Amino acid sequence: MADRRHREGIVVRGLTMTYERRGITTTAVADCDLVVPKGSWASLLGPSGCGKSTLLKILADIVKPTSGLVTMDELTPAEARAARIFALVSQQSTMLPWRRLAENVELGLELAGIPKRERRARAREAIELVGLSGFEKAYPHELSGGMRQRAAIARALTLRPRFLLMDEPFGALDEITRERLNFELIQILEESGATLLLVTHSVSEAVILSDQVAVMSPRPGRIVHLASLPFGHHRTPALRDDPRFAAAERELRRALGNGHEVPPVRIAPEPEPDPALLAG
Amino acid sequence: MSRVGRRIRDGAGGMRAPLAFLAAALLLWQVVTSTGLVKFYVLPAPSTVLEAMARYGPTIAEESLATLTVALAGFGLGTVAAIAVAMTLTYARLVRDAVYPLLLALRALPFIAIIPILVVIMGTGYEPRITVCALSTFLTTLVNLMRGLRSADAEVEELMHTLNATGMQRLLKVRAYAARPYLLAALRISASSCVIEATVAEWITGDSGLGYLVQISGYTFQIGLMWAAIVVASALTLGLVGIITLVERVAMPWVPRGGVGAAARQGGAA
Repeated sequence: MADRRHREGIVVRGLTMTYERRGITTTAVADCDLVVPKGSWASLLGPSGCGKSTLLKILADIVKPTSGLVTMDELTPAEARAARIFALVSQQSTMLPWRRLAENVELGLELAGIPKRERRARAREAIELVGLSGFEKAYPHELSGGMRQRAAIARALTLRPRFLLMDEPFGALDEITRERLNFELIQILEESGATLLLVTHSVSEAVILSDQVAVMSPRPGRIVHLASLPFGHHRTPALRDDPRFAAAERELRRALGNGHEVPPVRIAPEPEPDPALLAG
Repeated sequence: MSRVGRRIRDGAGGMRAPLAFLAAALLLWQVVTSTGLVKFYVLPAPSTVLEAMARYGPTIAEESLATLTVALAGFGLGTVAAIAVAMTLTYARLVRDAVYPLLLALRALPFIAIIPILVVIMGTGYEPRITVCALSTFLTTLVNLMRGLRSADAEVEELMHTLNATGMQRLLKVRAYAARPYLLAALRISASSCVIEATVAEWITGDSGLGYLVQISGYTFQIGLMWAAIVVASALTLGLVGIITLVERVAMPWVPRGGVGAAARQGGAA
C-alpha cells in the first residue's frame, strides 16, 4: 500500500469489482473515485444493480475488491472492522429473531466485550434517540418494518461509529415514514458528528441527507456525476421548500437520465475504416 | 416465571374439543362392545381394559418403568451424542466430509430389524434395547442439528461479520439459537419413536417391559391386559411428547403462536 493517501474520512481510489460466474465476467464497479471528508455526508445514488451496494460492502469488509484502494481514516476495511470504527445498517435491518429489541441493540457492544452496565445504558440512550422507548422487550417479529429499521440504526449508534455506512436503510418503507426518518437521522448525525455514506435510489432522500451526491450509472457501475449541495448540516423539513432543493433534485435526475443512456447495441463489430480510404 | 407459566397454560386451551370427542368415542365403543355386537377378543370393552388396568396395576407400573427407562436412556444418550458429533462435524471440515455421508447412509438402516443382531451381541438385558433407541435418536437428531447449526441467514452472518464477532460468539449467540427449532423438532420425533423401539425390542428380548407384557398377555389370552399395556404405552409417548412441547415453549420464547414452522419462517424474515 505504498500509494495510500494519508487522508482522513473515506477515500476510494480506482476501485474496480468484477465477478466471474459461469465464465462470464461482470463488472459491478468500474474505476470509482470518491472522497468523503471527515464528518460530511455523502450519498451514492443510482438505479438498482449499479454496484452502489457492492461499493458499500467493500467498505464494510464483506466483499474484497478486485483492484483499487479503499480507506477509512487511513485504515483498510479489514483494519477498520477490527478497530470497530464503522457501523453498517443494511437494507434488511437484520435482527436476531430470538433477541428482544434491547438485546438486539446491545449486540454490537456485547460482541465488543463492553461490560453489561455500560451497554445497558448506551442501548437505552440509543433506543430513546430513535424513539423506540417502551418497546425494549418486544421481539423483532412484533415490530413493524420502520421500527426494526430504527432498531438497526440504534444498534449502529451504540457503537459510536466514526463512519456510518447505510445501504438503502429506508428502502422498504413508505414515503411518509421514510421522510420522517430522514430528518430524524439528520438530528442524530448532527449530534454524533459521524461521517455518513448512504446508498439510495431515492433522489429526494439523497438531497435531504447529503453534502455531496455521487450519481452512479448502471452496469458497469461508475460515478458519472458528483453534485455538491449547499444546505449545511442543520436541516429541517422546511428544506423541501427551498428552491435550491428542487434545483438539486433536477440536477440529479438529469444526471441519472444520462447514466441510463445505453450506447446502441452493435451486433457485429464495425469494420475499421481503411486509412487509405480516409486519406483519399 | 409468570411469563413461562402463561406460555404453558396457553397450550391447554386447545385440548377441550379433542377431549370431548374422545369421551364420545369411548362411550360409543362401550355400547358397541357390551351389547355383544363385536366379539370381546376383537375389541374388548373400555370397561374390560380399565378392569385389567386396576387388577394388574402393580405389574403394569413395573413394566412401564422398564420401558420408560429404556426409552429415556436411549433418548438421552442419543441426544447427547448427536449434539457432540454435530458440533465436531460443524467445525472439523475434513472429518465432516469423510464421515457425514456415511452417517446419512446409516439412516437407511431398519432399526427395528437389527434388534436381533444387537441381542446376539449384547444379550437380552437393557443394553440392546437402549442401543436401538439411542441409535435412532442419534441419527435423527444429528441430521436435524447439522442443518440447524447452518440455518442462520446470510444476513445474520454478515451482521456478525461486520460487528467483528469471534467464532465462539457466533456459535453461542447465533448458531445455538438458530439450531433450536431443528433440535426440538428432532427430539419430538425421537421421543415417540423411542417408545416404539423400546416396546418392539421387548418382544424380542422378552424379560421385561410393556412390549413383553403385550406378548405374554396375548399368549395367555388376557385381551384386557393386552390392551391395557398398549394404552399405557401410548400414554407414555404422549407424556414424553408433551414434555418436549413444554420445553419448546420455554426454550424458544421468541416463537410466535403457531409453532415451530412459524418460528423458522420468522428467523428468515426478521
